[in-house]
Amino acid sequence: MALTAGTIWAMSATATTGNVNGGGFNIANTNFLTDLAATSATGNSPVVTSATYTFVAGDVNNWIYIKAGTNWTVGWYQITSVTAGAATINATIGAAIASIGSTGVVSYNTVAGCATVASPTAGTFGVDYSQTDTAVINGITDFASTASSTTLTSATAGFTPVMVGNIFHQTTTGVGGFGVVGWYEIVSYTNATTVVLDRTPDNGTGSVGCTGYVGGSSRLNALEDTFQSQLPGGGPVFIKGGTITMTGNVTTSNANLSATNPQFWIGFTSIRGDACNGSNRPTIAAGANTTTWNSSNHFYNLNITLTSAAGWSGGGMIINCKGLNSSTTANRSAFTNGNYWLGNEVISQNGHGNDSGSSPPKMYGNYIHDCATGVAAPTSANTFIVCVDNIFAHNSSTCLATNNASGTHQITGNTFYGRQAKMGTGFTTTHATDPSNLILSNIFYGLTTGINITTSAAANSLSQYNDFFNNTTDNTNWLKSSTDLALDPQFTNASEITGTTGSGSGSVLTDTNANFSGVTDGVDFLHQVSGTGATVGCYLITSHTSTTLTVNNPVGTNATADRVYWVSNGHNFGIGANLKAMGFPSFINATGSQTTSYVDTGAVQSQHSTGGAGGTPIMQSGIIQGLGAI
Amino acid sequence: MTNYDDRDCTGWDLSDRTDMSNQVIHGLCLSQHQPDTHCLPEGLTGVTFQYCNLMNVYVPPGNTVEDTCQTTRYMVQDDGQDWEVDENNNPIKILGT
Repeated sequence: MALTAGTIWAMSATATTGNVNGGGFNIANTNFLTDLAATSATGNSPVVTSATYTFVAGDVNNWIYIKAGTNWTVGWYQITSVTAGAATINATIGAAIASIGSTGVVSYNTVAGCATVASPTAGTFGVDYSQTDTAVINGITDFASTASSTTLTSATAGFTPVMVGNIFHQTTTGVGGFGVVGWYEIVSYTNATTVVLDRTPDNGTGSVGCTGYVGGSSRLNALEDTFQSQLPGGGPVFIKGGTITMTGNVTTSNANLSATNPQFWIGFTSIRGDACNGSNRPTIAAGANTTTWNSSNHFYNLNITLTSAAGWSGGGMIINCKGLNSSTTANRSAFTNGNYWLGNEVISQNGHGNDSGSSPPKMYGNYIHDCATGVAAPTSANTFIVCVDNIFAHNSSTCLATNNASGTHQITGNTFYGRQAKMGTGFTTTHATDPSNLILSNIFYGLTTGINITTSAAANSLSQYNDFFNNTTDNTNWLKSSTDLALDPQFTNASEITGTTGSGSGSVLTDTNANFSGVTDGVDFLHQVSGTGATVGCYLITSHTSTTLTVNNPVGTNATADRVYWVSNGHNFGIGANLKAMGFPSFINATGSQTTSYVDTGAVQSQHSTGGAGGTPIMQSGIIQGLGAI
Repeated sequence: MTNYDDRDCTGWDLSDRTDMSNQVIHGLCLSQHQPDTHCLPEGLTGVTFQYCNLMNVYVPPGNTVEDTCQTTRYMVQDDGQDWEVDENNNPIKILGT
């Protein structure tokens, strides 16, 4: 056997260090106890007991999983207290988890109670010990197995029957080195000194003196590659908020995963499946470690920081994540490749937000800013970009660049924003042949060049309802249509601070003539343009005073006050009245009549005069996240 | 006193901090871009680092860096990749290989 696909994994930034815990729970296990009984089972605080297991104080804060039974309501319920062997559980509406799908979709209980009757019996249940920081069996050192047997023994561990379905993590090879380090499921319970695992924990010779853990959340601050490459797929890894500092690389492609058996990595705030935006998202601080993922890994609700050349490389769906590559080296990426890219915030201070090479993602609703190049894609023939409803802003060279020989790019409803003083190119392509691009309903603003096609203009490309304003050159080798506009978008929050008398020391830029009071730490970026001793580039502002900016990399030390710089400190890009309802499509032919639509130009839709809660970016609220100052 | 545990300070310069000595610092990411970067206070003493990313960080004497920390020195080479380097900054291998 092997670990069961669909096993649900837990990760926490405050779990035991070294990634030693078990970290998983398999609800498909068929050997759960079947004698759960309860009183007050239809209320908020049922009391549950078992004839074969006495609940103990150590069970508090863990989650009982009720799998089946007449009149029982299936789900996870957190144990809030234990008295005289009986556990009180939290069955308040919204506090219990009714189900977790294979893609990590969570549903909560909508009715109080753990059953439909007050005193149910014969419930099938186990205890999910993976959701607390410390293992229930914590570093016991006398685990043993007989040669090639799946039976695990320990004189001191104190196995219980409710541990069935939990993951046992053997962390050492034991005396003589015959144990096999790895993660195993407790398939069945024999007695307090013996359980049966899903596979043998030794190398063919009986093991003794191995160290192991049962339960407790995992933590990606050690064994990173080992952990991810053994995951069985078919279910989620839920990651609770906080910062996890990686101290190793991810390089091994997980052979267990496939398109039909993916692994989801999902950040959450306080209960699995809850809203997890902005600073609530867990941070994975990868540093210079390489992180290369099998494309069947999908990532939700994470804040990722790194400096490696390829950044967060691979992966399938990247959704509601923030990626920051803070390297001082040019052309590094926050992300590389990826299949679908939705609602992310992406920064590579001196490189590419996404360098998608031969595999461009489909991009919807992302905020790609303060990069040299927002998205560099693709390089191979017959690949194409789908780029819809994204904001590209403050990218010093290019917002969106492609250089493949062919392919029809679909670029719709985006806001391409350089800066007030004009900077960079909105969209550029070096097609060798007819590009046949579809560019609809975008805003090109504050750019040196809005659209740049390096070959001759192609009449079969489609340009409709785009707005070009405040650009040095709107378009090169691109044919506008009569529906393209030249209106001021009247951005409501896209400001910048400029200066020419800065000086630098270490990671601090000082300008006695400046007023930095409007800067937001961890959100705004300094762009250093020139100056004596200046290291030209982009910097995240980590703290500030009215006349100083402390940033996340050295700015170049020199006291001469001639440093030219600017700070991007507007991030909303809501539009004013000019572009309201000016986008495409404005009407749709429907059954002999015209259904009128009121689409605004660009990525950010204006707020309706009455009703609704529009006016915010198309991305999820709170997507712009500060990194937190110290 | 500032809590430096489990913080992401990639590339940051913490050399002006006055409250770092004499504590256990756990899970700090202080990875730097150049080997032996002096990004900690020169007078720092009595700190035990656990599970920290200290790549390219110069740690002053008088402090303890546990084996659980990452202390690899690396430099960007002409191929644009990060290479692990020896004490003379000669490249050894690409990080992650």
